[in-house]
Amino acid sequence: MRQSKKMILLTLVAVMALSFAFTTTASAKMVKKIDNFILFLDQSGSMAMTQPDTGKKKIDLARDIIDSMTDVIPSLDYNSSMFLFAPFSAESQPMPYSEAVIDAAAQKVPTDYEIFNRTTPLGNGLMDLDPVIAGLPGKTALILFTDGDSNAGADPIAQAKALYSKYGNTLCIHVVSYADSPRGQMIIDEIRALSSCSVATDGKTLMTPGAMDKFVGDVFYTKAADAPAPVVVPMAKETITFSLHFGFDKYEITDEMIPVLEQAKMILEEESSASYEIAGHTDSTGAEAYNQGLSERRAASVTNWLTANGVSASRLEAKGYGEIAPKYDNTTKEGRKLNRRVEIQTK
Amino acid sequence: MIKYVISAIYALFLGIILCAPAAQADQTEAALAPVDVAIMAPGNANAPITGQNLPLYLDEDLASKHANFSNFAKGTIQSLNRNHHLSKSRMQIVKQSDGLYRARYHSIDSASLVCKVRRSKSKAIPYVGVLRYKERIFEAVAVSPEACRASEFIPVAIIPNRHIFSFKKGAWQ
Repeated sequence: MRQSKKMILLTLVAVMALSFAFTTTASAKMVKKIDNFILFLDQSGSMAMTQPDTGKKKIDLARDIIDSMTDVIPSLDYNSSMFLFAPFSAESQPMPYSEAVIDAAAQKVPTDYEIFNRTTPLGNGLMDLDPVIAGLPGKTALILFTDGDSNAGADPIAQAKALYSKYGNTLCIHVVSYADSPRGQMIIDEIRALSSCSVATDGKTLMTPGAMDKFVGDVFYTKAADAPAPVVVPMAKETITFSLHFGFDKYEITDEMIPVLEQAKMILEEESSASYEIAGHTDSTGAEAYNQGLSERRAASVTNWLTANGVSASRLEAKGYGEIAPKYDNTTKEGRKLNRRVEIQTK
Repeated sequence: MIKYVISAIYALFLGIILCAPAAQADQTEAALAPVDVAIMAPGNANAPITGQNLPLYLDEDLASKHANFSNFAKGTIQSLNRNHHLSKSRMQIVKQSDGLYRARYHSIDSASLVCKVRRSKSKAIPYVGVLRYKERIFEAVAVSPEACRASEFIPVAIIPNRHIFSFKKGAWQ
């Protein structure tokens, strides 16, 4: 009888130990955002150069980051793969995600190679990835580890744009930046700016406490409440803000304002069917009625310029808010300056 | 008899644990069929690249301006966070009809910054910069304002923003 009780106890201990062994088992509260992810690592000459503040090669740092990332990616039936570019190669073909498989693939990435004459054809790399993405069902996150210093082959920004045109919202490109040159950072930002889905981060930030959990949370899954429907943090409509630096009591459009207005017009043209409110705001200096009138005249000036330059009048509504809708603190000089603004909001 | 039943269950568990890696290896091997990758097409530029129509990724001057704008953007985001009328230090706390208190504040996620710079045709304003960022709204509900402040805040909404700046006389405004 005593022996039977001992056997029952041993069995229970074994079951408990097994349940703790699976450290990346998905919590019941995680709902996956994507079906597939591709880890795309730049193995160009510039990635084999040492980062001054860490003393480590960028490609070694990227491998470490991938190792940390797989520690927190939950088991939610993703398909995963790993590819390199510069030159292009497959380290792990698309398959059901396994932490062990991706970690093994990352460990095999060569890091001891010649820097000289090893260019960065980022654009060509993105082109080469196209058929891989085409073969994946559902939504795909392409996580690109690069310093962005594209100096050979096709235009990387144009290629990224072409991928978005082809795959629409079933693809999102996230860039983990190792940029150490202005041009590299610009190329990375241009790729990020192609879609609002892109989650921006860099190798250094991902090594700080909590940053990797946040990145994986933003890219891979949402947290669901205990209720059946998942709680998704809603994305509000976009706000476009600018200051035209109107002179005191002025509301006419001057030549110096046109570059900003042209940029605003380009943003409005991204969604040709959307309607917008053009809102004028002032700070709290002066009489409320005066500020109300001035904000209406300024909003009308902006709206008239946009209409005269090709935006359909039926899509725009001018509205003045005066000082009654401050976004910033009117008790500081800095806050008052920020409150003197024009906002364009999607209706 | 009970002893034998328990031993059998234990052996079954051990068997499952030992067989799982083998099953996974089979699955991995089956999935390793190579994927056909398209051969890279050669470039097809119809117009020659000149100083006047450099593509972005080759434009060193623009890259330099982009770096300058990125530094300006970091400071701007700190200013926007500091001055927001619903910043964390100025959070709004209201009493609800159920007697609980709801606290709310806005914060720009500095990790969400994406900068873009373009040349303009204007001599006075040679560049414009567009700063993209996500403004998050955080909320907490508790029995008192003090308890709200001490609570864990959760994000309840994200406002995507684009902020346009102009470059005049060597500075961004």
